[in-house]
Amino acid sequence: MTVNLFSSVALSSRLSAQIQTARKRWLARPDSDASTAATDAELVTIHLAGDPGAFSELVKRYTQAIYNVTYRFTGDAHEAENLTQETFLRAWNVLPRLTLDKPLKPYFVRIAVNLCRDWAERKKLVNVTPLEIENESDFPDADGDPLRAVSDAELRERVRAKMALLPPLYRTVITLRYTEEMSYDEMATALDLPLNTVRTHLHRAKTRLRELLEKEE
Amino acid sequence: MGNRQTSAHLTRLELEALSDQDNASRAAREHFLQCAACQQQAAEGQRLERALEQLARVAPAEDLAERIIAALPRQAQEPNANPWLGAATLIAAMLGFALAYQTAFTLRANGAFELVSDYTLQPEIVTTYPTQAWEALAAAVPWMTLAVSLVMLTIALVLTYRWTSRRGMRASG
Repeated sequence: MTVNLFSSVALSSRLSAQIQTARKRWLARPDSDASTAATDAELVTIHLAGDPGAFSELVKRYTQAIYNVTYRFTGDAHEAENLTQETFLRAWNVLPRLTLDKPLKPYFVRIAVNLCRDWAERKKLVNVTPLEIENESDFPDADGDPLRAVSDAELRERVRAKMALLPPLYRTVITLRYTEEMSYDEMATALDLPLNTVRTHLHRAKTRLRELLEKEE
Repeated sequence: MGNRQTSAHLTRLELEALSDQDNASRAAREHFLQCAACQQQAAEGQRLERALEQLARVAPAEDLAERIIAALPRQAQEPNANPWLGAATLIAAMLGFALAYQTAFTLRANGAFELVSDYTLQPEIVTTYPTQAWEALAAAVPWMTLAVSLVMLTIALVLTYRWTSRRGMRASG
């Protein structure tokens, strides 16, 4: 009993010191300077100590990214908002079980993607699972590449439009890689897939996108 | 990729691997350096990469984050949701410190500090008359007040620990 009491008190004071350090850093940050902002781990520590402002900070930090992922998946602003909100509610529940030595974004994205998959199943959406790409190793003769004649600005606009025609998983991997600038490791965590599978999905997504762009010609 | 025919054009996968030098085979690099068609294809691939990199984030409604925060579970917005536990901690701590002060006052009134000072300065008192020395010191200590004070301070510490733990548990839902 005595040992338990002393270890509890020691643990409590150690945790308290960590919380105080994190809280001081957080409170001392200038709003305009993101480089001195508290880390995700510090915010989680403060949140677990009961400070509501810390989780709000995480919500503000990742709302745009999560909305971007859910919107790209669903293509519907209202559904994307609902799924973004649900993502943070679920994140709030799993935070105590997360390892704090890694960035939170991939975990938040994983929750969002799982929610999106559930949403697609409920909606009985077809084409959630991407189709196999035929002849993916071939490419047209360089002289006959229809994209060459297109200006960079036009190509950007076409890419944006054709993204909507990709299967949701392909849209998601492209969004994570290019818009959210996540590494393959982070994407693997976010999608709960092996690293090589992520690479394959991304490659196929780009191949499919190129096919769509070429068909337009 | 290592056994490729140098005359055949590179696949898109091989072209992508070229941008990551570690993943590209020597044969693929050699073919690429000599093949205008593959170089052209790689350039087109780079254009697509740039176009993808310039895809803009879809911006949510400005107040979405605020709406999400407002919809968070109530406990998340109330860090000290159990005021009784906090009040009990405070009362136990106050009682503990008050009794500790009372103990110190009584020790001083009973001459316990002087006894300790004497024993320190003249240790032969303790060595010559150990029983009497300790009995005199024991008689100067208000044992009951001291015991209650220690119990109260211990309760305050335990309650503080439970308070912080419960806040963490509430966060886990």
